[in-house]
Amino acid sequence: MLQLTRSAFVCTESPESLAEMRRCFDRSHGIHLPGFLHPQLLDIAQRSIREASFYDRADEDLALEQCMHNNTLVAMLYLIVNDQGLLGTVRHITGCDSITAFIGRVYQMRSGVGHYARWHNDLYGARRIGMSVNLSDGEFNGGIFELREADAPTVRWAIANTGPGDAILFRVAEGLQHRVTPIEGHVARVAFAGWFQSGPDLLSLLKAGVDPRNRPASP
Amino acid sequence: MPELSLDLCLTPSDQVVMRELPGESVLLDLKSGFYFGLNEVGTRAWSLMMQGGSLQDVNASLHEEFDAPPAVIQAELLRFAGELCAHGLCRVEEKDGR
Repeated sequence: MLQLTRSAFVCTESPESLAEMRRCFDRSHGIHLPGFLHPQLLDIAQRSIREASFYDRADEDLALEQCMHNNTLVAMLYLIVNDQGLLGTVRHITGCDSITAFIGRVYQMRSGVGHYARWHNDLYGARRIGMSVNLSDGEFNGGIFELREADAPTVRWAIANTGPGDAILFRVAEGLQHRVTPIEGHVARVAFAGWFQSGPDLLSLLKAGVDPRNRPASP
Repeated sequence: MPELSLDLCLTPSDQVVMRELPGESVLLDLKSGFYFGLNEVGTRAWSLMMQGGSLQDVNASLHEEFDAPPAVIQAELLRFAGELCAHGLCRVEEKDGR
């Protein structure tokens, strides 16, 4: 298991298992990480989300979602996902050696309010690997993450990622696209999602007096 | 807050999340949203405190691991512990957990 806890990133996988994860990622361009967020942290996140405010965010005609306003939860998530052990493990699994930091946002998609995420590739700036951590308060329906090669109509990899605190990693590249299918039912799909990328690491930003939450997670 | 002595233990607040970064570490207080940076010695002291020993145990380990006069290490440890408590990052417990 790969898991973020309050004090550290914990990897209990053997070298052989990590090698298999890399082969799986090479084949599918995506991988599922069950139980990625420790239940204690997930509980903190879900309690914070219940009290948080969201704003509508539209990304041209590709996506419409609600983003959570920056708060302490976002600061916590930034801190724990920029763990050096996690960054190293993601480099190992994905073969993407240039990763130095993660940047993202908490967002939600609901049914009946026009939220969508159509096929797109996330290519922007220094993004290399996408990650989405499920923070939903219950099991949502629909909201399946699908990934395909841009020139092929068939879905290469699909996953609902409904497990509490589960995460997915997926490759961001010119020839790949992904989308999230519409939500059905009353449970919102809530995720901390963003990208592992090259560039200044978290510590450099903090030392420079830059609040990492104020860096744009999206174009 | 009681005056700190080496007989006391410090327990991290449930509201603190910590990460070690290259050469140092960062604490985040979930109540205030403030980040706190710890240098190498502070990181080691925090790690030893979290193992549940008394400040006396922490002091003994720091004596073994760092090249500084014993009086300086002890004074700096108590000052550091006091700052952690003052910011609500830790709470004080006596050795028997009271």
